[in-house]
Amino acid sequence: MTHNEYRKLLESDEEKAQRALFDEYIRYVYTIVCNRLSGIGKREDIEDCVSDAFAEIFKNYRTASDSDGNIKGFIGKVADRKAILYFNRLSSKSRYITDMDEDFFNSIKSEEDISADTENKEIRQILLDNIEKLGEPDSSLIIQKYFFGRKSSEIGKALSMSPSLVRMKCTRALKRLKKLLEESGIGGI
Amino acid sequence: MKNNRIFDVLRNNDASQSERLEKYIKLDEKESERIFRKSRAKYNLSVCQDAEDFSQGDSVSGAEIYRNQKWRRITAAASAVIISGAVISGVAILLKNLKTVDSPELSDNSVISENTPPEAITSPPPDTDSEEITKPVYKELAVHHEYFFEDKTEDEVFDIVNQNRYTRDFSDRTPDIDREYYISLIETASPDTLNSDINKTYIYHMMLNSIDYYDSAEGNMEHNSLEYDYSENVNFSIDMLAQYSHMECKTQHGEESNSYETYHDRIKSYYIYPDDKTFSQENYDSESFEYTTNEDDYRVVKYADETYGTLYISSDRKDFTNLNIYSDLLFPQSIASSGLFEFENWNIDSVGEWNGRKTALISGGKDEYYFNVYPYQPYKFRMEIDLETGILLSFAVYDINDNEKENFSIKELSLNVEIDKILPNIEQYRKDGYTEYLLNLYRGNDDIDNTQLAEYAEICREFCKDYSKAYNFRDGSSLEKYTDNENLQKYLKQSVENQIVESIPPSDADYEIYSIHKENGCIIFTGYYGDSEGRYGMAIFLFDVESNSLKDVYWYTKGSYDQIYRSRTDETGYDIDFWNDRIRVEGLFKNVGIKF
Repeated sequence: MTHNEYRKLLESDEEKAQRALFDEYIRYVYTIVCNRLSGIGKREDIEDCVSDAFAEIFKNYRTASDSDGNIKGFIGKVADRKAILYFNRLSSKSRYITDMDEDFFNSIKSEEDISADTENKEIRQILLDNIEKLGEPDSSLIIQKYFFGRKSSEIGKALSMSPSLVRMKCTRALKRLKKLLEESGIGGI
Repeated sequence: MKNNRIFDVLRNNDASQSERLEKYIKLDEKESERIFRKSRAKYNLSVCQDAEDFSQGDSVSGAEIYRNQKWRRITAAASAVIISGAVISGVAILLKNLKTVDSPELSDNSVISENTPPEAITSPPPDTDSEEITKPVYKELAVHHEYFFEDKTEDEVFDIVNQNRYTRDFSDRTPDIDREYYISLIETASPDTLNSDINKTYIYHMMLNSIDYYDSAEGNMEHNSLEYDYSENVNFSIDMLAQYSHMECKTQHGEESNSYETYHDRIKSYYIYPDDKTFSQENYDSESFEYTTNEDDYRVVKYADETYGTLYISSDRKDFTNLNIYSDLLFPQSIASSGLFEFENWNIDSVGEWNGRKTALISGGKDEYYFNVYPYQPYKFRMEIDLETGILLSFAVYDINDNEKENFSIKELSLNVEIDKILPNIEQYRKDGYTEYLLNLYRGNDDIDNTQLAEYAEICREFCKDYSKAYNFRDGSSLEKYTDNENLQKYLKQSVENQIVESIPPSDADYEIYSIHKENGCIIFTGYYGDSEGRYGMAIFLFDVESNSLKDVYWYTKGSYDQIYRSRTDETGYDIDFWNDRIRVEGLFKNVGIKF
């Protein structure tokens, strides 16, 4: 959907336009939010953050000027910004004092940090490659469980499996993944 | 998760990796619908907030739909050391299409005939003594009625709340009920009658409106979080009619201790950090005593939503304590409207005394997650409330097994005393960051020329567009064809010379301004941009007012003239505290010929 397509729809029916935008980008936004919050936020926090992001997107596109561009970039930007805010808020619960200066200094990457980032990016790439090598449904099981933080019962419902079968398959998939990663020179599972 | 740490690296991935993960997410229809409805509700409120902000200036009263956040305010808020205007506006989501009415009388109750309207009115004793004719005229306290609009739409419920809203002037307020009489009812109640509706109503009313019953206060309060090994000790003094407050806060988190002070003086707030000798400042554009609010029963109402279940619309009145995050004890309206709104969830346990003041001790709890201080877990609470003012003297939260999690308490309190107005001697501190004008606050502020701002904003946007077009030609001789902006040319050329490779250059970036700062003859725009490929980042523009020209640009996520920032990617989002780093900021300003 382009900005102009959305604007046209918006003129005739605001809710319909927002629904279309939501349906098209919900998975994208949800993924971006999980990218920041999985492991730190609860499911409800993720939902709150996703809905905050969409509320802001709806609001911004209510008055945004015409543009020929696709709007995915803007949506991604807003979603990530919200997720960072939630991340900071949720993180502060365990730290309480948020020293902004300290955060800033910490966020400036040293050479070691940059090196670590590069390494992490490579590891992510290898990890994703190997997860995809597992094939379906194992790839989905692993990502849903360990990235999106879904319960076995939820995964089972989505993939038409019993929760116990999900758990069993996850265990087996993890073993296979471990072997694949070791072959790629990565341990740690 | 913790047994599979390798999966942690999947977090904070880049855009291309996010897209690889996106295909795996499965959202069922119910979940998706719930998020959409929630988004729409927040959007509707936000749009209305803007309209209301525009018409009401800096009013911080308002209404919000909430499900789980209300009580979390006191705990979450206590974690924030830096208090910003955004915090204030964050809790001030204003009500849709609010219309103020001249009279404090309730509107026609026939509109809200879904439930039985309040009936039981307990009258104060009749004035039979002629000497009492000179006593103030009090209104009768109507027994609390919990409105639950099961068959109305959200818009209809907003309208109802709206119709029961009125405007008042804080400086003209006088106690509206005969507190002596209602306190006597509580004091003389038998165990069977202690929890009568009228007794609970009185406590609820006082907590919702505590600031109507004193003008100034000073004392000391404490907060302890047992779960997080965190404590705070706060000395405070407030004079609401002078719109003044001062607070000294000491915090302890494990071995680490910190301290800071805040001052609020009419339209200025100062935040002082004695440990590192810095301060920051915020300005507000109004010092009005006027505020809008609802009668107690309309401060929070609930309605049934087909998809989302029970939702609440709450409407807080403006907080004149100016204690920001610490106002929940001196003005516990949020705690009352969220935690005590449903009377069946709490009880008056006994009557007590605290430093010569009559108090009520109450306890309660609920097992629904939206009511939790600790998210998604059942909890219990105990409170002690000053009966004469509604001030919350102590508040402790327990988990379901009676393990205390957190407590707040006032240790010393003097009311209606003369407050010496002390302001910080900022000469001994260095400025920490810039005077900030949040976008929704600078409107109407004479200190900044709005026409000039609009011009600068347009330059920012044009710059972003130029940048998008020129980027791909940055290493060619035809760069000038694509942008005549010298700063941009300089940046792009420098990025080539220094082999700065921006892995995700924007192609059609659009710039959205987040905040505007003014200092030392400069105006600084902070904003973010996004493009069609999911790429985004921060861009900061610095204008020199005297020469009326763009002096520098920082691409927060992509690098800048100052190569320190080259390695910064999209980890930090937009964060105005970027400017708190004096060394780097001075470096930047030096580059553009501006001295401190």
